[in-house]
Amino acid sequence: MQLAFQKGSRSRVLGGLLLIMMAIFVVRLFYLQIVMHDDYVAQAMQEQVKPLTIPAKRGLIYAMDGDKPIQLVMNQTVYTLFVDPATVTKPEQVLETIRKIAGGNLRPNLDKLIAKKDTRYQILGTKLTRQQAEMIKKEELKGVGFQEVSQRVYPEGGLAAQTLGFVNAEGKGQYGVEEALHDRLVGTDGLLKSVTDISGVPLTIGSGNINRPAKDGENVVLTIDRNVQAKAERALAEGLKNTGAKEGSVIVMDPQNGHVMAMANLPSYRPAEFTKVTDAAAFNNATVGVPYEAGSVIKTLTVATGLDQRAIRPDSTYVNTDKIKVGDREIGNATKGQTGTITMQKALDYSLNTGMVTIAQRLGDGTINQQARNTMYEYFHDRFGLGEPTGIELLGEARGNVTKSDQPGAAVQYATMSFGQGMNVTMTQVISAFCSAINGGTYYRPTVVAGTLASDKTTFSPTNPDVLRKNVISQEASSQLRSMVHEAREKFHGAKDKAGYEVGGKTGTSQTLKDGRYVDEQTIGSYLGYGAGGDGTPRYVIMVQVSGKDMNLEGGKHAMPVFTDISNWMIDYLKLQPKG
Amino acid sequence: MSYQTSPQYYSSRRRPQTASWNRNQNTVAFVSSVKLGPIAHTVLIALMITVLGLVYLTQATRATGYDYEAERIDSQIAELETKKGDLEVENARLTALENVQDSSVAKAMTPPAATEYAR
Amino acid sequence: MRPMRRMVQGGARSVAASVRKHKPDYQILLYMWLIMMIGLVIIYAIGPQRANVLNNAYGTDYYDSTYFFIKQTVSLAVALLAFALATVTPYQLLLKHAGKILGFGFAACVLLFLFGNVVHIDSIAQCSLGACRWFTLGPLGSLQPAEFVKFGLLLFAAGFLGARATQGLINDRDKTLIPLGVIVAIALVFIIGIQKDMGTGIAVIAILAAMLLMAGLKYRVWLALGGIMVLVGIAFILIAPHRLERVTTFFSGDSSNVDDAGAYHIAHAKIAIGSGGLTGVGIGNSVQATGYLPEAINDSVFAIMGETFGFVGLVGILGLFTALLMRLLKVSDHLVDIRLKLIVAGVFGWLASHVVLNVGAMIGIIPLTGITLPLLSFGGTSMVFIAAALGLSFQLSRYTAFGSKLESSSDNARQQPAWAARRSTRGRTGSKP
Repeated sequence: MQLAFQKGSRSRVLGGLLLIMMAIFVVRLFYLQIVMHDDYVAQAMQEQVKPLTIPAKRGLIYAMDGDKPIQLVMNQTVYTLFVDPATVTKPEQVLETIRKIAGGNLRPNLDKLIAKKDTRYQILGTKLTRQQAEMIKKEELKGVGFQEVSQRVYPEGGLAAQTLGFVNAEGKGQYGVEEALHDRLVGTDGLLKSVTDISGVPLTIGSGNINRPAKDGENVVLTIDRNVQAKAERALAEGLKNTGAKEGSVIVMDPQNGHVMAMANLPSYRPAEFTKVTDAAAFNNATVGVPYEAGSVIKTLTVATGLDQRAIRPDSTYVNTDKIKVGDREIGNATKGQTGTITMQKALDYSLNTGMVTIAQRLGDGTINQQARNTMYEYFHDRFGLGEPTGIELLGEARGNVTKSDQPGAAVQYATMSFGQGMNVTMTQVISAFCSAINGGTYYRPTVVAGTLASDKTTFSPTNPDVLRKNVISQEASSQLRSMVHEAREKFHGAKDKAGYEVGGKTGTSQTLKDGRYVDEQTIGSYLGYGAGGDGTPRYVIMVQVSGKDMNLEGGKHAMPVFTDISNWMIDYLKLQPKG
Repeated sequence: MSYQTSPQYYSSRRRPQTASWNRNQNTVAFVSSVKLGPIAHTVLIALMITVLGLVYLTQATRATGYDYEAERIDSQIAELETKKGDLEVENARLTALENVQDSSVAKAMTPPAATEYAR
Repeated sequence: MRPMRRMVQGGARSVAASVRKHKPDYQILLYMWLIMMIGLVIIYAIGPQRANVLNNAYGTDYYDSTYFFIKQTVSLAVALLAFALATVTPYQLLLKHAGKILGFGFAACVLLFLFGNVVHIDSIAQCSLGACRWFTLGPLGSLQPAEFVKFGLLLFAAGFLGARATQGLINDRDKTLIPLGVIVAIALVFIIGIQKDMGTGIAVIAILAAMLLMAGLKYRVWLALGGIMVLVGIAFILIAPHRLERVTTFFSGDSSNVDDAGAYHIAHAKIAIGSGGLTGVGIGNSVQATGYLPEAINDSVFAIMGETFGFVGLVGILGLFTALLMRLLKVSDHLVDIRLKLIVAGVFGWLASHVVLNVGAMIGIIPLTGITLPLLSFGGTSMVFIAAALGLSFQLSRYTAFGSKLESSSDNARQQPAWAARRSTRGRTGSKP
């Protein structure tokens, strides 16, 4: 370009001014774009890149329905209704509309909340359904907004409540499998770190974007069979109603794999309404969390120990005098009168403490010496797993307590342990031990988790049964025990069972400690038994326990009917073949 | 730059300095017969730059337009998934034991009197 | 340059007529076209983002991704038409009716004031925050009377100052400066006072400043007038809180936080420019245009270009503007007729003030005034009038003279030293009894 201004022309002045200005601009641009470039890029990133958390969906919980999984705990998106009082223009219209559409979900004192003009966020209602939220959205009310919240819903209501637990408002699992398996259920939140526009819409501009999808939590399938669970809950509720007992627990277990088919506790609650529970005791799963002196049901294990050690046989005899001296203590029978030379079968039938002490003595040299105690400790603690957590996937499992064999005064304690006193155990420990004693000697870790369901909700991957110990007792001892327990039930209650099936059971009535003394006016009634089809393979084990403050509850009278109810139902439900 | 040629090798490219022409050199200069004036140049440059601009435009990715489309579809997917979830919950509720047992059909049912098994 | 040989007395008009009409300066057209094309490219690139920002803001899907590109193309076509029209309309005609154009502009301003500020008819007068700047013309878009005032004032002042310069009265206070001052004052009352459009007001002042300087006003007087304008400007700033805010924002510099609107605007313009770096992020990759930077498509388009094209691109764009402006200056310099010289000088002032004010604000060395970047910003009125002004300059570039012809008829400023003009003025006034 030829800039031939005339000499002395004022164009030169204007041109000069323009060029000076442009030079300043270029220098400034150089400063901004080259010198300060990194600084401004950082500033731009700071406001443009927004990390968005993609919430992982909490894993669903399924129960079994026969052999296929069915949903027990699901997620549902609900809406929290909030207003920005500063921008609401017609508060009356807002209140009228939301009252009409979502009256039941609103908080009290709406007028006051919406009038707080100096705040920008007031929650007016929670847990609105999608339909409600959409209806309100359609009204296009100014200043009204919604937040999506995922909440747990329980299509089966209160079924297996304590086994499930619940999820609190912060999304943390509480009690039951929700807390015990929280890490598996919760999944991993995804992260979307991307350049976004001013309203937060992610853009594909830029190279440093991170897109880590959320990893949803595992869908856990429980071993709980919803039909068995429902039956167990119904039977227990009926049993408590009939007997007037206040509290009760039932476990139904598959002895062939340690699967808990039902686990019921009363009183219970509905997980969806966990906030309404006043006594937190309702959250506790007594079958795993409350150790107690199990009482006479332990006699089955003492007999199993004797049989396996060949210290006794079912037809071994001893002389029953209704009392037996151990050290400086005299131990008596609860059922008196079966004196004389009697068989061990009879001792089990009548639940005679003297018989059990005799077995303990025969494990030693005729007294409960160190060897006898060691053997008992080995069986009770090491083999049957009493006094140790079983490892079931539930929160708050209690350890219980089995005194070591070399403690002072152990002889008397071990004598009482032989009939279920002097040690604290949980129902889960007892039923698992019993299962191993009758199934041929395989101790399965009790479990409530049957496997996982893939995200397509159809592909079921079962978890293999967890064999903790093999040959807890011998095959022979196991079958001997089974027939003894069967006979013990048959003798008094056989008529109640369906003909052609092998059902066995043992009552238990444990005294409770009141002010440090065993008392008879407050007892826990329990019943532990199994059922088998015609082939003699045990297919289910049921343990029932009922209790109540200041109530005298007996195994045979109060717990046994519940067992019988469930047992007969189980035979039908499992379609067991009768002996033929 | 200088190099020495080996005495054994005599490149045919090297011509005696006395030659009046060298290889690979055009001896005729091309002169265009078309003469363009400054206006034609100006217009041509303008057109070329316009064309280049248009080519650049069509080549340039305008992904941002698709981002919003993607966002819209994403939110649609999310909404449909929510709806699907709602229906699943509703389905589960309707088939729940609590409901089934309390239904009028279930109440009218009686337990079987006897069960016969095929042997 | 050869030294001046002789002095020819006589009217510039007769000399101008003696200059043979020749080919216009096509470079004016070329640079304008290039700048327009770059503007179209950037509008094309950020149109989708802008459409989405607006759709989100208003909850509609009225704007589709090509909305702005198509509108800008239409604006360009109209602007080119205006350019052509201004090229073929004889300048004599325009000069003759300059007063009427200016009068029409003032009348439009009065109407706008009535509709907007007195009877409040929103369907006609487009207002925001009490400042009514546009007439709404339905589907035709909108019209800004201030542009008419600008254009009319350019022509009128050229005729007026040209005549006074020819008479040698350019430095006369009573005959030149005060009448001009009154007209400018009226214009400024409308534009800055009522329409609250500081940017256009400054552009008007810049147009006149360039013309006065070229007309041969004494530097001292010119600077004194400049000083008065600065004082008036400060007064305007002090009476309007939003302007004061902008200025304080400006002086608080880079450290200002981004909470208040003006500071937010500047900070984001700088982020956009700064993050562009040497070569920019590329077409379609501007993030600041997705809603962070206000007025991304209008006043802030320079910042978006900085982000998109980087330092290289911005220097290129500034280079194009500089080339166009220098071209205008050259045309002005070589025009024989003093009125025509002043017209082109005014166009120079117009364009230069817009570029300097807009770019200066975007890069944070001049307070924000809300002025468009000519030929690049989205929007019809500004582009059409700038194109018309350039079209007029293009027409006038056919009458430039070079060599002896120019020298024989050179302008008063050069021919007649300031002292001579003053003396002749005094003499004339003195001779009257």
